[in-house]
Amino acid sequence: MIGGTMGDPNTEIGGDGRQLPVTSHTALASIKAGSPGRRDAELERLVQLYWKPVYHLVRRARSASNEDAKDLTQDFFAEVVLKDGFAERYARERGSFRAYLKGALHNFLSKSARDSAREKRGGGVRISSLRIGRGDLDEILPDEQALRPEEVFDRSWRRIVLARASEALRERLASQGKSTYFEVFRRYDLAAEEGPVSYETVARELRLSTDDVKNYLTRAREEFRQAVRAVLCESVSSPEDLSAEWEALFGGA
Amino acid sequence: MSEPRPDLFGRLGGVLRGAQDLSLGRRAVRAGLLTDMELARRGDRPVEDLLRARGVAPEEVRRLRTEIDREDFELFRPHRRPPPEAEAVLGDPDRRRAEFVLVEPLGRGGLGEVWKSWDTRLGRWVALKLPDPGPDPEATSSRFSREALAAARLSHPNIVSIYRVAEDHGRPFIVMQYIEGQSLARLRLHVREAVETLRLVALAVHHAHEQGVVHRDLKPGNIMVAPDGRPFVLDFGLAHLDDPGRHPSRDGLVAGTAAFMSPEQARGEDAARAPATDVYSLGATLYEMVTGRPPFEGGSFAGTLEKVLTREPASPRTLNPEVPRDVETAIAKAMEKDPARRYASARAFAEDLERGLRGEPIAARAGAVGRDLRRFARRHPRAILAAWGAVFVALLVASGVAISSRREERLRQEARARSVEEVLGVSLRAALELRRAGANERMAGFLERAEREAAGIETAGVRHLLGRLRRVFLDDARALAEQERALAAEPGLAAALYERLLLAPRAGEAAKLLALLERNDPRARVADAHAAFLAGDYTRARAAAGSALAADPSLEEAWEALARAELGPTTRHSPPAEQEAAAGRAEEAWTRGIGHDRGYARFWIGRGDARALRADLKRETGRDPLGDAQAAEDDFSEAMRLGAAREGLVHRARLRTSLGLRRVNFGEDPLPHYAAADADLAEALKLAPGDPQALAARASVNRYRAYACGSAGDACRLGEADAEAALARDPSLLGAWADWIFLGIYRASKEGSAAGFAKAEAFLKTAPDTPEVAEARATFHLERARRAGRDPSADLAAAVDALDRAIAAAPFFNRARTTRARAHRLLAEAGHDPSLATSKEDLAHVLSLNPLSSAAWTEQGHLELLWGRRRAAAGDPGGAREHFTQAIRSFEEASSLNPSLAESLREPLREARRALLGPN
Repeated sequence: MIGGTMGDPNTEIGGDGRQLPVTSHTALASIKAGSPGRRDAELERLVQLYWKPVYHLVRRARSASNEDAKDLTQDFFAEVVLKDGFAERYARERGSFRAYLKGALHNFLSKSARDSAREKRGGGVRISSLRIGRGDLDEILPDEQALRPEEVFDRSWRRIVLARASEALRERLASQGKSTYFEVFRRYDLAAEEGPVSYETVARELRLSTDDVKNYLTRAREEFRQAVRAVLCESVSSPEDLSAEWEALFGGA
Repeated sequence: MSEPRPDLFGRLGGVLRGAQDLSLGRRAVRAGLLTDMELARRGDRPVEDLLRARGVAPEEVRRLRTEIDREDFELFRPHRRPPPEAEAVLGDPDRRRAEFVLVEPLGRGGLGEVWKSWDTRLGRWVALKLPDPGPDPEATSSRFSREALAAARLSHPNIVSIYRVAEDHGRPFIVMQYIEGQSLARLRLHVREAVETLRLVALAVHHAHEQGVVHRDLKPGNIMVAPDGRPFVLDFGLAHLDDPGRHPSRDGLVAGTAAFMSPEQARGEDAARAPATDVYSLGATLYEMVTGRPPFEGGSFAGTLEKVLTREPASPRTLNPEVPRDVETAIAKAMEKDPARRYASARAFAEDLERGLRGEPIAARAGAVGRDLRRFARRHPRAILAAWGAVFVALLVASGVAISSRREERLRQEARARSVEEVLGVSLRAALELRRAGANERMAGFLERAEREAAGIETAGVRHLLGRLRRVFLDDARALAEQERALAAEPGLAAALYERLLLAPRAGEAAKLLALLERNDPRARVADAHAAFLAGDYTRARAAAGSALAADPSLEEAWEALARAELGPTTRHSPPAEQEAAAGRAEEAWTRGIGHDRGYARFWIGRGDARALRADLKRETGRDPLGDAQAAEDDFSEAMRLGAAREGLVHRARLRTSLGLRRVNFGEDPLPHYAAADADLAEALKLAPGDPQALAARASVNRYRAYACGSAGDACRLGEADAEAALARDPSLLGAWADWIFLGIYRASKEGSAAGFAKAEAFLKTAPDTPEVAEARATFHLERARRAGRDPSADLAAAVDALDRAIAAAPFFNRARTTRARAHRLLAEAGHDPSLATSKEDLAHVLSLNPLSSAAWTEQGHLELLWGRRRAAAGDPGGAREHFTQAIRSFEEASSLNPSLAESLREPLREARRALLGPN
């Protein structure tokens, strides 16, 4: 349950996503701008956003075991993403960072299939601090056997984006003293896995009027939209990219 | 792909697309392609369909979408890293407000603090205006919305932009443009630069006027100059909005700065909401810019205000010869006392300054001669008075009217009384307005000044105003004396009658005074509320006060009447739940009063009392009183700060005494609380020697201190003296009677003095008949019964009798019930056969209200023990066991609540256990 308090694993999307930093400054801008002092921290954020999608893709693409997939993922970040020039090359390209990353991952996987000797370096970034729970992937893989590795990657990415956005939404509304707005949103939109909930049910549970429920929901949904856009903005470099990533979120390009 | 559960992605995707669609719809409404109504009623239909159906071209829809992307991208994609000074405090949660980081305080305004802050979302510097957490969030948010509304109307290159009103944990703040630069208060400019700068400011102010916004607080400190020399007008927190739907803004005087304030604003006139008031302040600002000092300096707010009203500033050229004559003339025209004689608009002022800068003749020249004469008159009041006096006399002589010197003298005195009345009127209004805004520290000097002015003038108007002013300063006794002098001079003066009614209220008199007041004046309704309150008709009192407040919420006496009427129907012996509800309603009335008159100390005392009462009720019903007690203490402290030092101290001392009593119940040391209370009272008595309330409160402290020490000592003697002195001054202090008697009895008992008992008995004969005195009477008999060599039966019976009466009058008097249970037990121990059922009922009553009363548990233990013995003696071992079990449980409960009882309960507890388990 995203941002909720009840730990029903069936509704968790993105798993660790909710522990990730919410207020993010642009990771890419600073990588591109190359302000060296903060580079590691910014890279770590980027790693956090994409570690799991990469891991899922690796696992799916290689049919690798949990441990092997983790190693490969770690290597991909250490040897490709965190290497000098990766961000700079991206700056010269067009399109979304996600697509760029996927391309790089493809190359890495083909290369690593040929090259068994792997050197491990971390560039000062503590990748191992991100742990993945047992069964995390097993839970989604059976359904996704039919998916291509890229689709697994995208699906994982979507989970993370939505989880981070909903956590950001929760914090934002709480800081405005509007936790009830979030609660309405959670019950009506996020926790609706057991079938649709009516406005009246939510109103009764939260002791609100039905009108309040509708109004709060409209407001929370708009804030959720903004939160999702804000997460996407962390890894895009133009309004056009934003639009493309937005569409990608719904299974588009 | 199969999904075992409804697809959350799908659902959230729908939610997001819906939100995005709505966002498109709103943009279409803004672009005039759709109406709000159409958008609201579209149902599930996508906005794009709707637009297509209305003939909007697909490119137009695309354009709207692109706009959303561009804006979101700008909004959510941070442009740059925080600068180091912002980064340094980024991690400090105290420095965060929503998405902003407070980096450096820029200053304080009327509403609160202004901070240079970093906007982490948009990556830019902003200034945040954070309101002080005021007592009345409504008032704060109304000022805030005023500022935001004012700013929303204004978009001008020389006015600071307000970006928005944001919120952090429910507390609003204003986000505005940050100007790197200095305020004119700190910046020295050459005369020419100063004139050019002020010209731009005047044009900006004119723009505001055109939008119906009057600034009302223009001064050098509210004008920032950017490094490129561009000035910015700041701080529309006091602005008046020309809006028929809004209440007139009324705190202009207080937060405004006296030296730059127009005379009409100082007088609190409606005219102070017109643009001319800003024209004056612009002139005054330019005055300081070119001379380096404000036009008026009076030492205090009151002194400056008086000069604003009555004097002319020194000529700028005498202070700085470089000031061109035309600039001096323009300043003088802007600063005319009469608004009608000033420039017709801020733009006219700006244009004249521009002409002056270009060396062209200025418009202000035209009226210069008359102005010079008027100014001369104000700079040299005596000379002009003499001159006009001569003219006046000459005229009278010329017209052939012979006037006696006595008549002349009378005319002169009347004129003087009228002018003093005017000064008093302004002082009163100013002092009240300052107080209402809680700026009490700026009230200094008003009263002394008024007294000096009024000395020797016995007209009703002057005396009345001085009395009213004294009431503003909480000096009720002398306020009353002044009103009586006013009424002696003019018996029918309604305003003085009203004041008198408020100050010396006796029910019959109030009704008579009420009949003399004008019916439809809101003050008549306050008077009605007071009269009704005195007559015990609290419903009418509430209604009358409420209707007065609906007409004029600034009547502080109406809030007092309302709050008192809320508490009126209950006494300390009413059911606790009723008392608590009444305290809550009174608290609310006081709080609302505070919102209207932040600096009126009695509101704070009243609210503190309501909260202290609730703390007492919580203590008496086994709940935690500390939160309410702390809130009450804060209120009393605030009252002290606002000038009610004595009252605040006395009330705080009572609160502290009560907290000491709470500690006694749990076997903790209450003496530090009593010492703190004692210190408060010593301080209060230093301020007001012989104050009966302080003396009575000190008697109470000493009574409980004597109990806590377990010896009569000095505490008793001091307490008795205090109580006696308090009662000599004010016999209506009922609590002091009870304290006095208790102290006497306690000392007699400790000292074993027969004379002491005789004296206490004599007190009892004179004391009024209250439940507390009845309780004291019972205590007297119980103590006397303990004396050796005496048959206690008669005293014990008398004690029970007194307690019966106390409890009949006050069924919720817990202490009396516990004492009655004890008296019954003592009777039984003396071989009598009192009703144990009554004791059981008493204790059940007490413990149901207050399950934490260690005294009641103790007494219940004794009762059960006694009962057990009786059952055992009657050959009912089963019944006896039940009572012994209850006795053990009660004693254990008592000593777990109050460990200091363990010692004295050891023996009875052992007896109960033995009886239950046998000798082993």
